[in-house]
Amino acid sequence: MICQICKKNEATVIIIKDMESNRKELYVCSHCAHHLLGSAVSSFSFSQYNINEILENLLNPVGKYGQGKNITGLNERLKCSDCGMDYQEFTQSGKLGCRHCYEYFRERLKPLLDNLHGHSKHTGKVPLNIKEKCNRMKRIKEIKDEMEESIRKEEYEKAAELRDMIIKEEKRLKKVNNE
Amino acid sequence: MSNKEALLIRELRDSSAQWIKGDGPLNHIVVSTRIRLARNIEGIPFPSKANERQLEQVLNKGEILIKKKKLFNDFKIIKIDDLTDIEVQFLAEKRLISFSLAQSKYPHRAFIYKPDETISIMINEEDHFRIQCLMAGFQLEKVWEIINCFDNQIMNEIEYSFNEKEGFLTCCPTNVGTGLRASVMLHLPGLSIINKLNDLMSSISKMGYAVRGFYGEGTGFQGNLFQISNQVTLGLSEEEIINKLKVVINQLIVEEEKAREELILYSRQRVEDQVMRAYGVLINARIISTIEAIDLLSKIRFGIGLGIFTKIGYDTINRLMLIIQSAYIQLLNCKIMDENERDSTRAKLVQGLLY
Ligand SMILES: [Zn+2]
Ligand SMILES: [Zn+2]
Repeated sequence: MICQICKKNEATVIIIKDMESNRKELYVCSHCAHHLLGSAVSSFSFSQYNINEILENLLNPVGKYGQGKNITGLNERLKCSDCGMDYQEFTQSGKLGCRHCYEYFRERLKPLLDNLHGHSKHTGKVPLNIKEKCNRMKRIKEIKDEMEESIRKEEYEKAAELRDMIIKEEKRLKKVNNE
Repeated sequence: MSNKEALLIRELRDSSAQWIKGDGPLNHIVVSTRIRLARNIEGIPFPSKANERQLEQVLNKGEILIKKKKLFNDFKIIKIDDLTDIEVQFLAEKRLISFSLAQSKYPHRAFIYKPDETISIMINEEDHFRIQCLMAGFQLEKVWEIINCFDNQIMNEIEYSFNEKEGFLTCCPTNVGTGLRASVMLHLPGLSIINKLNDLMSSISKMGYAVRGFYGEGTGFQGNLFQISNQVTLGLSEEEIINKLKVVINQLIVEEEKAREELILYSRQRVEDQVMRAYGVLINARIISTIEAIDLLSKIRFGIGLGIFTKIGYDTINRLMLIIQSAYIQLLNCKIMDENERDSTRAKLVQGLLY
């Protein structure tokens, strides 16, 4: 089978697009697969990828900064897996253990913060490097949305281009992080 | 104890902080303005969950900071673990460190300070860094400008724990966001005499401001001295927090001025009598407790503010308010003293400065 993107090389990768129970398969060559999905494609052999999973893995570094970590079910004992602070312990001492506690306990902390401050979102000073980081992350998020949109519209060439842009932006973000 | 630490403590014992001069704006009512910022270093758990090695890492960052940064050229560092209990208590009594840093059990606690004692950083208190700026009189904007500049300089060297949602991340969620606590120390004897203080203070508490006494949390309100500070740290910008507090303080200043005018107009002789009696007791007492001394010194301060008492200025009153405390007295006399000995030494100390 010929690659559905470049229409030249032999397709060796199946990308399964599974959106709204509308399953579609995309056959691509390894070159195009790399172009589109980057290093997430680990094998050159004929293999299947679920596009949603790949997108998630691929863009995880963005998610790590942009969104909170998964919170375990509220019935389970809440614990910060970075510092070991137990939510129970926090309610007794009033002290959190590390920066990640704010992510792990976010849902529970929100009403507390609203109560304490009347707000739960920071509007004050932002460190310069973080300001830059945030701008880059916003940019990456925008490109990511655009890429998903083009995949939905089956504009794979455009999606590949956007994928390159994301890689570039992520490299810049890493540079900001390391400074 | 190392020689270096002993020398620094001796220097601090004899030196006066900038705010003690008592020459700031509206100094007849406002003793001092303080802003502190709570900051934590990225990648290290807060002191509540940090191990000994991590706390040492925090201390090292502080040490590197003052060696490396031009801004910190003349700054000194004192490690709390190297001090005696009395020396630690003395630092707290001098308002250089918090009582919670003095009493905490964390290893590698320290504090970095500018010799004029306007800027300092407590290390390994509840948060990794507590940056503080303290100046005489009512000058929130100036203090904010100075501390903001220091904070920015530190941020060039050290990455703070920060996220977009909750801002600067602090050990206790009561400080999160800006990490900013601004507090203004007010002397309100006029409102106290006309019995308006309780109502005013309770309405200020209801507005979301904390009211504390001069000598910190849980020590009561001595000498009609009150520290008013913001409690909201999240969801407002630093400038908004400061401006809101400024409005509240200005209101109190207006009320206190009204009370003083009223008192001078209708009961000048009574007020003068109170001031001069306080002076009489202070220069004649053979034994005096801290609480009595503060109460009488507060009356003298009132006399200075009203122009009734001109023998001494705010600088002497401020210094006296500090050195009469128990650890400070013992340090000045270079020996451990029991309560009786302190009370008689205190009386002599006051007389030495009031005559
Ligand atoms: Zn291809
Ligand atoms: Zn944690």
